[in-house]
Amino acid sequence: MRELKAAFMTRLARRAMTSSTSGLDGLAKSMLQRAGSGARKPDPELEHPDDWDRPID
Amino acid sequence: MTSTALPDATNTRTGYSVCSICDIGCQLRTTAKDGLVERIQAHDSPALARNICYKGTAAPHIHNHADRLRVPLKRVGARGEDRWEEISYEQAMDEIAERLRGVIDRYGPEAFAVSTSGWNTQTTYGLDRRFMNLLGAPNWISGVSLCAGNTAAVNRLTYGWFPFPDIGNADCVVLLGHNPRKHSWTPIYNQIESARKRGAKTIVVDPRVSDQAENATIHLQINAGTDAALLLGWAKVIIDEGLYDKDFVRDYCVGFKELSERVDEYPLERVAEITGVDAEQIAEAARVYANADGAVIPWTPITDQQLDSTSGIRLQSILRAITGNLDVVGGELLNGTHPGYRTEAEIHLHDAISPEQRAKQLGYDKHPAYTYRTAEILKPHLERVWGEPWVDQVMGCHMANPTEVFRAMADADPYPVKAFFALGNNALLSYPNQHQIRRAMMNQDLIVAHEIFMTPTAMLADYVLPGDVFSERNHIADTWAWSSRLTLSEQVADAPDQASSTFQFWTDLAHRMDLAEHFPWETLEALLDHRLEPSGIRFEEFRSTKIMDMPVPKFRKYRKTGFATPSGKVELASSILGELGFDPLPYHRPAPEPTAEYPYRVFSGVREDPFFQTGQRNIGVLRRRMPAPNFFVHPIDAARDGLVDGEWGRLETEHGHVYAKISIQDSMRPGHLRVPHGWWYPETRGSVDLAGAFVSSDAVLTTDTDELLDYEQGIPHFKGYPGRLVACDPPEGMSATTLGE
Repeated sequence: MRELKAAFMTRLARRAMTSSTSGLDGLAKSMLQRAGSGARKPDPELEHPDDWDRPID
Repeated sequence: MTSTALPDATNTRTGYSVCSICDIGCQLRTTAKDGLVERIQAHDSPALARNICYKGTAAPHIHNHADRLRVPLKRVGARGEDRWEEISYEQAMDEIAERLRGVIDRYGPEAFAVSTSGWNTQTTYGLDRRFMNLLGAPNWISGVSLCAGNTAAVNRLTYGWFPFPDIGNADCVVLLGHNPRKHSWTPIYNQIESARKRGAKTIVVDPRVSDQAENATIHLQINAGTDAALLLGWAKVIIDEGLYDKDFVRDYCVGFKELSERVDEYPLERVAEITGVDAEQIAEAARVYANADGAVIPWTPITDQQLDSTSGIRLQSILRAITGNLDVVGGELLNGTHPGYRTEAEIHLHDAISPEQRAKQLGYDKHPAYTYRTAEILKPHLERVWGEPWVDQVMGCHMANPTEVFRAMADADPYPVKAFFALGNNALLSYPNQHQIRRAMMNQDLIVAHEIFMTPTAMLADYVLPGDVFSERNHIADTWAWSSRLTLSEQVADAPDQASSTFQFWTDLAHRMDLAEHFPWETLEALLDHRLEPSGIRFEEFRSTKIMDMPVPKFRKYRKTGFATPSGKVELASSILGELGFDPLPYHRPAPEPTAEYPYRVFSGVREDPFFQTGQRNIGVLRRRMPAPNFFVHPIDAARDGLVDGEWGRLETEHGHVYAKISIQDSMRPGHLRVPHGWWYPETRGSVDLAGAFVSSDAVLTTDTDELLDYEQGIPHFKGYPGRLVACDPPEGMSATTLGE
């Protein structure tokens, strides 16, 4: 059962990692979007202070 | 999720990128305007959106940096004097070809060595080895000899492949000193965090209370450099208590009896004494690992860099096998390569170099584990199981030994090496015994560096060619044949006019060396088309339809194919090691102990969040996060040695000394001293020798004399060598940023 589930998840990922948004690809993307909704918030740690972007002195 | 990698009306392009600022290869979104990168964003798939760090978002600051190399340079002063004239790319390539031909004519093709990092360049497209193999030149080296590449080669001794850990489904994750963090190896960090949230246990083995150790189910605060002894203890517990997978061992393993006898030499009392970890804690960790329903030991650079590294890596492989965790969900997956994409090893043309020239590869005789010698033994078995005779997983399976290459460069021992190319690789600081590497480089007839910034290594070159970066080229990343995933990376920005990709560099050089027929691809995309040929599509179709692609996994494939070893089984006692004249079974080899004169166990090679390897010290938004290197030392040791937090210290070993600030940390194991990797000071170029390359670089501290090399691979001991730390004034010539002024 775990192997079937793992294989299914890979099939889902393959469908989601395409540029098509229709059919099974679109369905896979919407499933992932629902599963991951709210997972990503703005992260201030990824920003760089403007005044740091100067040569090392 | 659509790409606009072609420019829109505002001359803005956005595409998917595989970030190459570190080596984990996150797929991100890159936006460029008027040919320059403007912004890096997280992936637009929620499944991948957390795989982004502040090094990745610094890409615009790196790719557009004022100091980026933009024009080919030719040395005009003495070697290392850092004086240059600007020349055209065509002139540079003409002269390089002529001088390389001169070296080969005089000394033979084995006198030509290449050092490269597939991480910094993202890929070599396989063309470096192709060029070398067609010439008959076997001496290709890389930092992967110390980090992941050697792990791949040693794993193959046991079961013929380097598996990929299925952390996403594992119930137990073992981290041997490896410390993925939010801004370092971010995808693995995220996977471990997710595993923890669903209840997976983590076992962290580390002399320091690292970030991962803080959250571990079990933390074994080990003496640095004793991984193999610890894992022998685990094997003993697992075998003695019958916690191994008896069916798998019976049906698919050979050498279990010999292994059992070997681990009997390591009762837990002995292991506890070597490792400094309580025997019961060792046993508990072994039980947790063995009893988990799917357990992984992800790759770790720590075991890679120890005196008995081969045994340590082999023990990881052995534990995976005897606990039944090979090629199962939540275990270690034997993926094979993507069937629709030619591997770099196929591009390499390893059959084009003669067996006689392969046998001249430095390391082939003395330390063969990751050289052609082992690959030749594995060749028929790889073909039988995986359909490919040469698979260069993580670039690490057909390498020369770097120590032997630098000896040959310095002293013509056993033969002269007189031409050295470094591509995306600050070789001077990237291998042990930095003084010898400098001496080796000073003894060359030709050195070529291909880089995006001037580095200490490039300063020693005859020619420095500007390279490109990930936003400026198309690519399909294949995880270097470690997993079977393909990941799209699109060009959205323009490289400087005189910059070249490694594709262009090797192709243009080959055309000047009468090898044009073997380099028929006029564009990089044509080469990608060639690699995609088995899939029946071309790069443009891949780019317009796919963002990532991976075959649906199959499990326990060995039931049909066997393993890619001489016996067809998991070799707990390695027939290959036996054939090569080494102990077929793993063992512990004691490293030099601390002394009254050198009381610390020093472990070096440690990576820090803002930097990857020796890079990024010139990038303001990253350097200001860590202006200076730090030694970590325990308060007890600091008090004994009169060390003050935030002041400077000089770390001395028998082989050299370096400077860094002192950071007193309760998290350290007493008696241990942690040294960061790869420090130099780009801002001191012109005022300090080779931009401070010998001030703080950990490669100055470590030696590579024969008695301090791992036997089978010939890699040095970075984890637990004797040293002493004394308070001192800051080194001369440091910048205000470094000094915190």
